[in-house]
Amino acid sequence: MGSVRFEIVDGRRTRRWLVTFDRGQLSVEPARADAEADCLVRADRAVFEGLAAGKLNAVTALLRGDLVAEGDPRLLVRLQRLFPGPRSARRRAATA
Amino acid sequence: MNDGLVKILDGNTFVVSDDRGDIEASPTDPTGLFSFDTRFLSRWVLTVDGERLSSLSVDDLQYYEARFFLVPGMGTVYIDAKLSVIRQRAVAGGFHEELTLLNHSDRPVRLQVRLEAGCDFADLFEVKDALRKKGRYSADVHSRSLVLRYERASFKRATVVSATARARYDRDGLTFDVRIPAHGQWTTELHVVAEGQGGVLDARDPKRALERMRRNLERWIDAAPRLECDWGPLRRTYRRSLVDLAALRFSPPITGGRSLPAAGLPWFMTMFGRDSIFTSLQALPFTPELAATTLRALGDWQGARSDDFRDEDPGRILHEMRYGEMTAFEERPHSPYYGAVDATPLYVVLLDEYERWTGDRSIVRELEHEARAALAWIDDYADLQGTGYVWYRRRNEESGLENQCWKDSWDSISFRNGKLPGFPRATCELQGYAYDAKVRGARLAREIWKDAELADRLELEAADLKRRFNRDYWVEEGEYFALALDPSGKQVDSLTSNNGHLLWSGIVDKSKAKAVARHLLGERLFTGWGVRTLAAGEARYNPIGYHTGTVWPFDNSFVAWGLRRYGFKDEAATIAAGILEAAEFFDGRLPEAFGGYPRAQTKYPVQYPTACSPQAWSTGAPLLFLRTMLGLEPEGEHLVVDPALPSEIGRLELLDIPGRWGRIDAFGRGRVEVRRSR
Repeated sequence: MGSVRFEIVDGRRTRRWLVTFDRGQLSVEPARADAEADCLVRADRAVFEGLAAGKLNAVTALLRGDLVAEGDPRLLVRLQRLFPGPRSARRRAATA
Repeated sequence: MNDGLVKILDGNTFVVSDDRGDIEASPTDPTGLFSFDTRFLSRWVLTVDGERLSSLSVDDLQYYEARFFLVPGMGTVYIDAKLSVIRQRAVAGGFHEELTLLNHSDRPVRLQVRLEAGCDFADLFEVKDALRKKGRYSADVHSRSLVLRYERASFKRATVVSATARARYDRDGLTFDVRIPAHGQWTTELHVVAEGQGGVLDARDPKRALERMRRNLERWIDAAPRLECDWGPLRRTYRRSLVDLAALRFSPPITGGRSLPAAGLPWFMTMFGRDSIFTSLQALPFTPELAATTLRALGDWQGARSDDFRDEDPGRILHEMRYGEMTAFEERPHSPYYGAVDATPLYVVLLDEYERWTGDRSIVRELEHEARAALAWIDDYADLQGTGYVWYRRRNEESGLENQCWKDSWDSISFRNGKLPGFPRATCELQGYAYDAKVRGARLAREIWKDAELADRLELEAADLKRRFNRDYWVEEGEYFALALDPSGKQVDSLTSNNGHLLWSGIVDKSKAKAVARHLLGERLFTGWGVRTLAAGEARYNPIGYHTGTVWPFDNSFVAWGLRRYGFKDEAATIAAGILEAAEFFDGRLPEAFGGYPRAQTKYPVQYPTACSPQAWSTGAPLLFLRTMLGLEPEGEHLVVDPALPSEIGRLELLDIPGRWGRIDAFGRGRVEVRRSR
């Protein structure tokens, strides 16, 4: 359980969304600048688009400084699972 | 045995210097101040009036603290000791050094004291592989500090050097003009702080952090069971293990300050799936909290998608996590890298073993999803050949690992004739771990998750795996288990220490165990100190081959545990005695590996040349040997004690063993006569 405030920086504008998780249930709503959250994630729009398309990895974006995060880092680690991975030739094994 | 380097550390921040306290790192040399896999000081050289100093002595105060006694001059025959210099340093919220000069003459002196500071901001991977940097360097000289900077696109790192005494700062360091009265002294504190993306990497107040670390180390030692024993070397080894394990604790940013065992100093101060799990298993009867943190942190990072670069699959447990520049720019896959095939089944093994000891059912419920995903990974993603076994083949051909089992060097998996098999490979111990994971997963499913259907299925699968394994891996003429299957299903027929891990996992048919035990204590595998990774007589056998003939204390601790599981108490005690006697030669600190020469030939264990030390699973080995020798086994709500100790140990008491029973004492008396010649 937890909540993350996303701040999507688009030029001079910043869009904010509050994502709340509760045991697999997920809700998304627009957020005010002072909305309380366990974790804050801020990046340029292009970075978020890359993450959503599976072209960028949240962890390396964070290490490079392209993504800024504050608050509970455990939540951030769990959150980055939501983003798709890159294309992979990999499928489940035949016996599955 | 000593490389002449002085190392202090706190988590993944560490300082490695020479015995004067100086750092003069070459690009390939692992000295310097490191934090989060990045070097933040590569040059730190003290001079007095332009002259270097020489070392009289070094005190290793604690793992995070050291003191150097120095005099001017460079080791000539006669030292004019009118002046002495004390450098006391610690790692806690950065790197701190208290520099004191003592004037022993009856006249005041004027001196110029200089510290040269420089930094290459090398990624630990660059230090290992001698690679060039791609970013830009700069330096800001302020009146009270020097800031060294490195930038590559949005990636920024900086080192801030400052002192409490007045100094002149320049781009290459700082200089103090010092006047010391007759028989007087002068002191300054120096602070070096590493800055990463989000500011200071470790913002703790150094004085308070240091005080907390002191108290924490005392508490750590106090909380562990007390060992009383007639045999002095074992007492020393035990104490050394506890202190080193404290030093190897690492709090990844996601654990809220709780720690898990990192793999080793200096290269491996990070989270490794395999090493953290094995060390947590070894330390379970002594410091069970390490296992809890390991399970949670590895669960947080559990794979969620298929990513070829990182060898990631849903449910897979990570191999290695890194934070440096090459990882940030995806020149290395460690964000994290998932290329280990044993960590995932071992994750379930650790979860079950942790609950058996501690009775902490809440963590089994908390991590139910992760444990189920790990069990599903074994069947859905690891069976690359569709033959019902666990296989590995890397998908990252460029920087991934070829061998994804614990023997991960390039030539570790070979046929008797030395030929290397193709990929994928299915090494034998992986099948044992998968079997054990299914058996233990079934228990968790039945007793805690209340999922009888899953429990039944896992038990059936385990029984089927055991039956097939004992048929397909058994080398009939040699009476041991093959090291692996090659892609065509043919046995990779070398005799190896992996047989011991098979006993530990329980996958071995009772009827075959005796022959396996005979091999483990036989002339080809047992050196008199321990069990070799690869048996003498195999084509690639080499007593100083990394995974092809050396003796690994960690490996042996699991081999002995396995022997014990099948009732070979004396054999287990023999191996325990050999390794613990070897520890005496290393001041109680077992190295990663030592030479596989017969004991009678070398008289002392020959340390493997580049082994890293202290290393977590070597540090944990004596702890697991203690458990094995005392025959400690949780049974329901109780702890069963069934000792079989080598005779030279005499009386052994392990007091206040923590577990679901509260705290309990175990006693034993040495009776096993150990055969020592080889």
